[in-house]
Amino acid sequence: MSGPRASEHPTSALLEVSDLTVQVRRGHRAFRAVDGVSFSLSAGGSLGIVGESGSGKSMTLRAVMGLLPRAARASAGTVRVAGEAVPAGRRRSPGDRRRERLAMVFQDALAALDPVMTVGAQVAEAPRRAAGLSARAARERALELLRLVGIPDPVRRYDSYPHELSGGQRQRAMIAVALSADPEVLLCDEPTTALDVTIQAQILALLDELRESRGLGLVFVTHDLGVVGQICDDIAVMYAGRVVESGPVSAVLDSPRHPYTAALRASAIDVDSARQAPRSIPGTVPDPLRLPPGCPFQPRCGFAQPDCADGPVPLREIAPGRSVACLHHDALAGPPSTLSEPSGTGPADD
Amino acid sequence: MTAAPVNPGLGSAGVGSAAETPSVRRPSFLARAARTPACATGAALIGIVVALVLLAPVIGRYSPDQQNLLVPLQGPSAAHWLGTDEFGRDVWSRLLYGGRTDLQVGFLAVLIPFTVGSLLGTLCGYFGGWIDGVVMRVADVVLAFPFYVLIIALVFFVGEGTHGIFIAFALTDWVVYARTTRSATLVAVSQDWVAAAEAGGLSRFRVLLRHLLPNTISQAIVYAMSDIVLVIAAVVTLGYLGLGIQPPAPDWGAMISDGQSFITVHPWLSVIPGIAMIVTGLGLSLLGDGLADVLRPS
Repeated sequence: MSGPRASEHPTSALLEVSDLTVQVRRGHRAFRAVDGVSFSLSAGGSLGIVGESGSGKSMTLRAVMGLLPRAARASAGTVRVAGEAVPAGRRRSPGDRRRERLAMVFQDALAALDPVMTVGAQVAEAPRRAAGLSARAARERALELLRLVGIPDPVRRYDSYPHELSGGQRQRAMIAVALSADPEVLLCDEPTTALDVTIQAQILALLDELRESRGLGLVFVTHDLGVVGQICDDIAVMYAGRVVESGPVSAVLDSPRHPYTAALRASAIDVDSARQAPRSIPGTVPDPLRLPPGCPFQPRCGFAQPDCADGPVPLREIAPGRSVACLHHDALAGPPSTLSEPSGTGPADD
Repeated sequence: MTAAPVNPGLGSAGVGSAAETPSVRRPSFLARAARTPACATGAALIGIVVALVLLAPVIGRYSPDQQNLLVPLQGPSAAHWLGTDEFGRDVWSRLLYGGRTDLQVGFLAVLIPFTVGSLLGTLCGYFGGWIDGVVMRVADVVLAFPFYVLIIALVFFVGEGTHGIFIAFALTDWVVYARTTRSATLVAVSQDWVAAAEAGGLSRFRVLLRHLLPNTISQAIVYAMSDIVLVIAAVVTLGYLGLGIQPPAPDWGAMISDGQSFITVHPWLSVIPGIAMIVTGLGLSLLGDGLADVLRPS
């Protein structure tokens, strides 16, 4: 059950994922939706996983949580929660530590709450069933949680059904459900994408506050670099199922070393600076059944060289805590101004 | 790319908006049912039928088996509101007592397949794998036979009368419930709230009973309404063939069948239980249709 990595140490990391690979069946063929992803999270830390749709970021989260869809299975890799290995992938065994330590916040709160059960009952369920509180104590606990996540008038909201709440309240209710099992890590799958900007800011503030007050670790999957910049310490950028760049948020976002990260940065709308209009990334995400040879980003990359297509490009540490999967990451090592120069056609020289 | 997608349909209230929280009181289930025309009409029809049938000893005036060979085949009169049959039995009384038998048998015969089928269907949809394979193949085998052929064969085999009917329906009718709830469960299982419930550390048994079943059962309930009609029709058909409720116990099927010989001269003998059958069927169908609207979470 031990991972293939040499870097296996009795770690203090709360959540450690190494070399996670998820195979997804499509028809008679299979592809790797997640390909050798590793990351770790210390208690109270927060990690943002960013990437386009189909980059495997949500699949990574679901594999860690043990909630992979039926067509998918974790074919390699280990997930350790507080040093204890748990089977990655689908269903959990009865003694699974994930139950107590990890909880998940979903993108669409309406879909993630049982439509025919009151919100209060859903929050009270884990305390009642998993922690074995009495009905009265579980109710008190649920009310406390609803209050904690900022639901106004929790006593009355307790008996509401999910569809009777507003979008923001629903998201809060779902966070309350996630907190009800008293987890140490919250896995958030685009928790604010379906919300409008003001509610989004409130939910982010809430998560940040929970992190500070309860030492909750956060893994935050999103396609929104701005969100990651706001609440994460570390970032992992995913492309075509692989981590292409990782490191501290400020370092990675200020001076990206992988062309894809740079392109993501350039495609972001930045209201603070008077930078020119956001640039889209040419081309589309590759079909996972027909990945290009070598670096998967190479056909869309403005910095691509012939050797990029030669073979797999491993993720390599370029500075303490910073890793990049790019043969020519030096091309981006210069001052940020070079970023705005290369157009999609002309490769910059190194 | 980093611009937050704005969904104007969601989230108008946030922190500190306690005052403006909409104070919509959810109308109760009964209130919503009463406002749904199909549901209300169906419930009213069934209510009347059930009330009449329950009051049979009070308003029946005669025993359903009491023969009076002095007054056979009479038309409606003050003494016999709906006339008499060939043995001089009061048609009105037989209609009420017959309805009693048929409704009771219809309801009970649906109860077992409803329970067993819904549970099996939810199990199959949730767990998949070999359970699903075995149960669904058995279901295919049952479905391969025409319904009536199977029912008649089974009733013939286990013996006619009510217990034969119960067994025959328990063995065949669960298939429809199993298939209905299975597909509803398959849809539900792919949704995040099932994942969320599992992730919350609940046992799979609890997820199944407390989360999945309440969400999928409404379709089965709706179908059960029409199914009672189907069962009553089958009981009536079996009665007509002599395999159903055994004489002298009154039932609508036997009444229709007995009246057949006199259809040209005394048509009401068959027509009246036929109308009762239609009214009951209509009521149950409307009720089922209305319930589908009321049970669907808006």
